[in-house]
Amino acid sequence: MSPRLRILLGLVLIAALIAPLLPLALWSVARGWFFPQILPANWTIEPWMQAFAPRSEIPSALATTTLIALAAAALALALGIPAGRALGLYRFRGKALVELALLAPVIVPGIAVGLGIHGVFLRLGLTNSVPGVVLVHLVPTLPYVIFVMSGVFANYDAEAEAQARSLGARPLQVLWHVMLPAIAPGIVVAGLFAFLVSWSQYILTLTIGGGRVVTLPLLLYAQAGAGRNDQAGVLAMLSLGPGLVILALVARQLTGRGMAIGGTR
Amino acid sequence: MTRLTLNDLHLRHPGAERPALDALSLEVGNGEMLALLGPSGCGKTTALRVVAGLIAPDAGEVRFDGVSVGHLPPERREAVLVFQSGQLFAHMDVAANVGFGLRMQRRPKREIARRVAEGLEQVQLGDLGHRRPHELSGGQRQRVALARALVLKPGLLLLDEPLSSLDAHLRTEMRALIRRLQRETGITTLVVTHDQEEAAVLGDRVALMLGGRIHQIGAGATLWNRPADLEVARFFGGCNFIPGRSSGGAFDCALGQLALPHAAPAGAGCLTLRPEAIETGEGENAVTLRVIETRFEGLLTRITAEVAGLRLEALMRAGAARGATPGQDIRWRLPREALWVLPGV
Repeated sequence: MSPRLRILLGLVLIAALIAPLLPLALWSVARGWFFPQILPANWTIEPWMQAFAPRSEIPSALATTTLIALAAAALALALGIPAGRALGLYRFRGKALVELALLAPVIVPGIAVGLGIHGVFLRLGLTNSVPGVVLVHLVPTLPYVIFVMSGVFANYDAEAEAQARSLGARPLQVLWHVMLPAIAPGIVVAGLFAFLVSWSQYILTLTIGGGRVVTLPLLLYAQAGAGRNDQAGVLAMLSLGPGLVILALVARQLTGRGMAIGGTR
Repeated sequence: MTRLTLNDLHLRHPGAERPALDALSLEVGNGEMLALLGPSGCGKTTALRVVAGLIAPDAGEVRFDGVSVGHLPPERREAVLVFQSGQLFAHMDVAANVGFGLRMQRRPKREIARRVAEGLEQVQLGDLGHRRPHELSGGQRQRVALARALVLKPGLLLLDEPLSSLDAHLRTEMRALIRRLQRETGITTLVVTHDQEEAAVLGDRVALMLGGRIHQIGAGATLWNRPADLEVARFFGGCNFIPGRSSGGAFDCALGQLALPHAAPAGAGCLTLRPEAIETGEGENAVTLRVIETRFEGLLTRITAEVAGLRLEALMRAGAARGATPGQDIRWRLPREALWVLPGV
């Protein structure tokens, strides 16, 4: 492929990705924007002022969403790193079945999973609460973490740990000084993915949170449904923020230190 | 410095047909360098890992200075294992790698820096402390791995095929370095190798391990020239085995009566001699054979000859091999000192 064609294709791709977002961005700074007009007639920051006004739900939703996403990502990492290690390093009977079961939540519709879990959580008193939402967010986040980490561990040489032990490192020291640094890039990628997946959850948050736990996606759907294009625009821009930041971070991880993922060899 | 005793070790890997260690017993003296020699899959690396504490044996005991260490985890054993691949930590520079063990012991920073510098000096890498492992050559990596073990001043150094990943010319250099460092530090060393030459050069003694147990232990030349059994002889490239009976310093066989060296075992057995020990010409133990085949093998030529249904192989240099033409008779001398009897075979 010629360099010129490649650049052209790249531009087309970028345009295709950005184009749908443009109207949203414009909505958040437009006053009166009607059909024949290509650009809004008047510009304003009124929607943004409204969004962060004292009585607005948006700031607290922003905080809740961030908190839930952080907690869900942390929990998914805590569970997904050991699971990924087991799947990446060892061969055992029924491994394919375990892998399938772990990835099933990605395939099964969220609403089905959510309704099933709702019954259980109801009995446990976890519905309508932030902890309940964090836990249910593990359903979509954990498979991503396990998937990324098992890939990282498949390239990880556990002999390095045996070497460290022989050099006098205790098991926790091995974990901290040998394993974690070797898989750190993978942890970053997996954690960011988990954060993003949790950040944009709608169905599971709604079913388990019962409308009491208000996150950005919930507000976004509500405002879009109510025809408040200006508020929907603001919410869409806010929702986009972490994604862009994370994309920038991960892109550096993936390209700048390409070797970093994949371990110690 | 530590005296290592392995006592009747048994180990079978799960699902394996044959045991990896089969009644393995071995003693490495204080300050000695013992080469554990064997073909791949003979259990020698497993033995090393058992000593390091990375694998627990099914039965048997590992003793350091007479004290059993079976209950100690690897990090609390006096032994440090240097892995075949070097196993440098990729996320640390060379100095951090060498200082790893000392950091794990929480030594003062200044002491670590001093000992790391000394350690790198010992392996002639004094100025490479800031390099990353992937910036090093194979030989340098191996030297860093060695320094990383030596800075800990272990009682026992375990080397797993330390030269196998190196080019031929680096191997000689590294071999000399290991030998020198072992002499200087006096650390009891167990080195595992599949290379006979390496074992002979590195080891004060060589232990030949086959099928999970030690077949023979002694000086390199002894194993080479005075094998204890058929497997040992075969491992060292022995290919001439002549059945017969040894008595009174002579061996009766299809070739006639051959004079044996002093202290050769008596009784029915198998006469063996190394192919390169055979000489052309007349003298004691001279026999006539018919040449069957000659094969050029570089430095040496392998000549197969036959008499009375018995085949002998000889490895000779170009000059001596020139006279051998397939189909012709040839006179070979089997030097008395090169003969050995494997009893009961």
